[in-house]
Amino acid sequence: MSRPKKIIRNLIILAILLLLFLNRSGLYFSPLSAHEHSERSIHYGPSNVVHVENFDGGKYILSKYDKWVSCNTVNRSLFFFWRLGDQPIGFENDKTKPLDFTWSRTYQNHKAYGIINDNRVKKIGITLSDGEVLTQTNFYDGLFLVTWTNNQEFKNIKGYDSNGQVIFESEH
Amino acid sequence: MKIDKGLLGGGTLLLVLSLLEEADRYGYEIIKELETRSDKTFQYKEGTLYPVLHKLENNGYVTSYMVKAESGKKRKYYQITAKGKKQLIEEKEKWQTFSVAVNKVIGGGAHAFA
Amino acid sequence: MPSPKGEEFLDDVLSFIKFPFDRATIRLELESHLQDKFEDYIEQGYDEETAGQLSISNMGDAKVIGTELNREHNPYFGWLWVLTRYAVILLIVVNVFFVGVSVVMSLFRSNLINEIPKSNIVYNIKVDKKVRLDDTVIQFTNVILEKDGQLDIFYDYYNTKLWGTGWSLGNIGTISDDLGNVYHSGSGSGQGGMISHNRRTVDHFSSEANTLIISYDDFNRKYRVEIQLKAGDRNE
Repeated sequence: MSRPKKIIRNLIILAILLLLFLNRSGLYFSPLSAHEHSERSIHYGPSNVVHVENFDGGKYILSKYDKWVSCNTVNRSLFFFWRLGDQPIGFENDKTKPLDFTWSRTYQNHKAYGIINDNRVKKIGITLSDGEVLTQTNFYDGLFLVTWTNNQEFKNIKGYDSNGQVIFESEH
Repeated sequence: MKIDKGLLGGGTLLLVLSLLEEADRYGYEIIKELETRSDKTFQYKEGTLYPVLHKLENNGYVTSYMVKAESGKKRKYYQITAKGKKQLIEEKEKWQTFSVAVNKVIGGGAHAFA
Repeated sequence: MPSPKGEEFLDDVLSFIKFPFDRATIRLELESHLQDKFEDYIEQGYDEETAGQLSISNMGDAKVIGTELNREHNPYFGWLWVLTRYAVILLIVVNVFFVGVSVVMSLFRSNLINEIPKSNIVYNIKVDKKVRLDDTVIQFTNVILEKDGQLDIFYDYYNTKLWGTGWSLGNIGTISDDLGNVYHSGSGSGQGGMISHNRRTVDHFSSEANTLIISYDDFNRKYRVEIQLKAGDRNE
């Protein structure tokens, strides 16, 4: 076999072996692909992605599925690829509350996310244990996501109306 | 009469493949055989055979393998492939056409066949 | 072992070969030819020095031979070939390591059912019920009630989609019986692999119950499996 033919043959074998490796090692070509597989393999979704945000080493994927709201994570791996993160499953939205939310963290990456049920809420403010307040006014299709990376813990969340009045507050 | 045909010229394909069709041979063997059979008409700068052999191998007309002789010497043998055999038939036909044409030109109508 | 002049000649030829990996075999082939020619001349009666010189000059011009040979040993194709060859070997090793290990491990797994001592078994019911959650197929195989009231539900599951790994199956549903008891305590264990063998254990299962009910209802996925306990195969 001539060298050019050998090279082509090697490249084909290489492509097959590479795909096999990627497949078995849980690596995906795109963050959304990892996210979709993450959801489906845990029997949730398919959710509607409203917002994607970067964090160090990965992405947050904020989405809505039926009456649930989730903020899945996917992690970058080996420069080009993506891997399942954690928390693909969402919480059930309590529509009786003006807004419903949850918060969690993985190592230094904290996130608080939720959904606005009452249109009067125009801004949310999350107070951390050191007093710092993180706010958001631009919601993603009614959903919000606030992230921080210091060691502060979530203290409470407030929902404000267009006049700046607090119309909802919660500490859980 | 000694014809100093460079092995890099034409006709070599026919000669080399023909010899390999009979048997697998190594380079030096091929040179010696060419010399002997042609009554020394074909005498070459011997090193120039090797680019020819390597080219034949790249084109898939021959393959090669190593053989260790009892003397301990390692020799690279060449073997004609199916593709090579096909090419040889074509080369023989080309040669036939060529030599008939030449004979016709130089000998007039009397020398129709070589 | 050609003469110094012979070595010089070979070095000269090889200086025109741009792809380094092919130089050794080319050198050996030409060297062998020189040697054969040399021995021929000796046989013909020439002295060593003349035989040596003649065999070299008979080879031809080093530059001509070298450049013609170089044409048949294209360095670009040469390097590409070497690179792709090593990449293939690397990936084969990597794949054997990652993929092969898990395949081999799944061949050596112990049978979960055999872990229960036969003397503890009240009944062992063979079940043939299959359900599907997205791409996961779950097959319930056995239900064993132990003398201390522990109920073991054995099930296998596998993924019908070939791509990716994903999360393994956790919760198989709420365990209850036809008498209305719902069982919350218990544990689960599994073995992973291409077909994952698992066991879900529930404590203090009622010995009066006639039917075991496994019902799953999460995130718009539902199934309900009912297993008859008294009318099936018994194995005491």
